[in-house]
Amino acid sequence: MAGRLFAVVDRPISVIEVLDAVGGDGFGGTVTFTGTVRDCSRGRDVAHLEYEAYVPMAERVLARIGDEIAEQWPGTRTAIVHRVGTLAVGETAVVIAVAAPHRAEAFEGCRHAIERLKEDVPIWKREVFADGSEWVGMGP
Amino acid sequence: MHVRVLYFAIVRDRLGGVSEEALELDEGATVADLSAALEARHPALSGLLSKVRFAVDEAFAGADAPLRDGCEVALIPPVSGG
Repeated sequence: MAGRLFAVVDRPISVIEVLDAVGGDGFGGTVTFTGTVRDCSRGRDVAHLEYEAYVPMAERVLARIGDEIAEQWPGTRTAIVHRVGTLAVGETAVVIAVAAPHRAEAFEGCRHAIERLKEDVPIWKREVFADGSEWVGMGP
Repeated sequence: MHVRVLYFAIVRDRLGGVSEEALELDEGATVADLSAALEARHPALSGLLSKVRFAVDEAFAGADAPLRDGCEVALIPPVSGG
């Protein structure tokens, strides 16, 4: 039976692992979001990204986001796994899965999950270019 | 009271790679008191402290939040997960 999965890992993410965590016979629809490393950012070519996290708090906030979704869309189940470390272009940084009895709640819950993750989860991304690097989100 | 302060990302970089330190504060100190102490102790953080949020024992806390002996405080610069 699926358990709770809200984790920060330093290895490649298995999408199947995240889907398995939200499996269940009562669910008619499951929506997943996969965040991947793009090859360019604001006009500059990205060499790779570096992610770091305040892991215990990040996992706590991910779980709280899952609880928010269950409260706002009863009957849903959420799992989120975020990767940290050095990620090459094309690699997966985060996988979110939301299962629900019906598809509308699965879509809405999954959207909510990524928006909330980007607001409050203590994870940081540093973009590394050929000619320098910068922490994302610090402004001009 | 003794508090443990954690530094991440751009904050850690500004401090030359220091990721944590122990600080002593007066009884009854708040997050705002800690912030002021950090500003005095680390000039390299000037301008950055106004952009960070504070977390006390893994929960976001406002300026007036009280600290306890042994608590863990993290400086949370703008997050960029996902």
